[in-house]
Amino acid sequence: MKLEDPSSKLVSPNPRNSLKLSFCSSIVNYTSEMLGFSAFLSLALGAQAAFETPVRARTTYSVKESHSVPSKWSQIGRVDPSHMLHLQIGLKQGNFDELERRLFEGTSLHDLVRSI
Amino acid sequence: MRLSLPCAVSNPEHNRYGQHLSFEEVNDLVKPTDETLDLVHEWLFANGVSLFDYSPAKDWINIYIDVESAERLLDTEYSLYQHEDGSTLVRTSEWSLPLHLHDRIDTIQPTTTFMRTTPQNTDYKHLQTPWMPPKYQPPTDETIAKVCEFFPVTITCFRTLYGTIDYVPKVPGLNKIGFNNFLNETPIRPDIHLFLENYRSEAAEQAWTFKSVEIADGPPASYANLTTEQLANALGREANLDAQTVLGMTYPALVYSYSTGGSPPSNPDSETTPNTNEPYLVYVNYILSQSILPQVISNSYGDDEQTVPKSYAQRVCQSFAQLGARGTTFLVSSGDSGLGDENPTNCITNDGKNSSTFLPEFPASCPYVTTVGATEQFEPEVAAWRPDGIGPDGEDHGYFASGSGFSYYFERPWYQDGVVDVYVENLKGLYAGFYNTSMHSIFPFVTQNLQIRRW
Repeated sequence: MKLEDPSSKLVSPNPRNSLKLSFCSSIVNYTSEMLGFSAFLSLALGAQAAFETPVRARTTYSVKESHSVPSKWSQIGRVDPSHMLHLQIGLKQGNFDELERRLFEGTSLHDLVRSI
Repeated sequence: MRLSLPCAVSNPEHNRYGQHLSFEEVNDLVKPTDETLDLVHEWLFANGVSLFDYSPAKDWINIYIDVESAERLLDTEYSLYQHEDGSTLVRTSEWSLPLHLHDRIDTIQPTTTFMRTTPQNTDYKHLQTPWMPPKYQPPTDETIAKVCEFFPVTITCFRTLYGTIDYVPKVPGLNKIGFNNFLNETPIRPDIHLFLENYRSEAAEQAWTFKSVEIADGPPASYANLTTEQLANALGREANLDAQTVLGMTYPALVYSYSTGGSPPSNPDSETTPNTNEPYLVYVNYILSQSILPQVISNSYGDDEQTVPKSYAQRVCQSFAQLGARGTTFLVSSGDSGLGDENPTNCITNDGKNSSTFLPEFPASCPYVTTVGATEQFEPEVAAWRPDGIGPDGEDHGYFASGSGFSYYFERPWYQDGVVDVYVENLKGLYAGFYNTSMHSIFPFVTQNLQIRRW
């Protein structure tokens, strides 16, 4: 994925955490806005000690999602364990309802029907 | 064109017209809470995942890990799956998270998404002469009759029929339109040049200058003619159709072609490894990370809604709402298979029960996009339809019907109340049980005459 927008470059996790992390990490010297790849990697080594709560799984795993394989697809084998994946993790959005409200703001059914 | 997005800011007669949200305002609204970010970071660090990047709103985290680590992270098992057409994907049918993250994470992909970004242009493209509906009447309106015939419908006919033939752009140089290519589809510039020289000569030079944007190693628009082998593989067929129509219709708007590849970024031997990317999501997150967007983006790729899990459909759909809030109208094809599939035995649910059902398309089923259906004829334009069988060119052609139906994932939005009630009432229970009338109805909002010729 080519990231052309500089704002989507590798960045530090939320600043609050970074500060906490920097406090416990003696591995690397950095300023929170200037994290590079390697600095971030080293930093993470010290990360586990930084959280106020124990890092080991706080709760047990349970199935988040099941989805039947569509009928035109069949399972034909296992995957090489070293095969690389680009996983995209969608975090719950903070205020989507407000975004939807702003999208529809002031629209009436009358506006829509009239233009058909 | 009859109707814009269901959105006041897109309605020229509304007092909030043009007052879209900015890139920053949208990102601010959708960014996760600090608590969500903390908890997810904690989980990733604890599992040894320390390198990641974010979408600008931080509502998506991208990580690049091997299958073995992903299986531990999600307590799952990935397999290689093959479609009956031979294409393969690395996916799973179930994955897990620690309970305390179930409300913090909506979806993680690729896991359970089996969507294939199939081009929606069926095989009309094979026809040299069309199947002519028996009751077809040529247009009686003199202006339209002069430029429009049943087949082929030309750019000049479109522009006359839809009233843009004498339109003078008010802000030339500012209006932009984009179209999307997947599955290694890419436009072929020499073909497009030839088409435009014939059908919109003033736009012909744009065939060489329109912008090609490559995402995840998607192929750039080609300056060279196709090789015989590429031609046989129908490379560029959908992309050319889209490029020729967009350039022919919208000149002198600036045109952007977005080609999204299928390979994961860090895999050098992609010739032999299966496709593990989820290109739709890669595309959506790319486009949302741009601070300047085209005002219109056209997307002719989709799949049956039930090939994707609901959580994925919802998040991708929310991304289209973000585009809409920023003032970009996202046009989506309604599908090529009417209410289901050419083969009725494929019209069964994917929930293990194998019940008979109509098959809505995604992303057409998302209530934040503007769905475009296909029409034919002129007075009146009617929904495009063609039976399967031997065509006038002596070759066997498949069934075609412009897509429609009711979503199973998205509830009926307020703007369909009333209109859909009347429609449902008139159905008088026809095919009841094959669809859910309380959900979003895929009524194509805008229609486009289908009988076009492609070069």
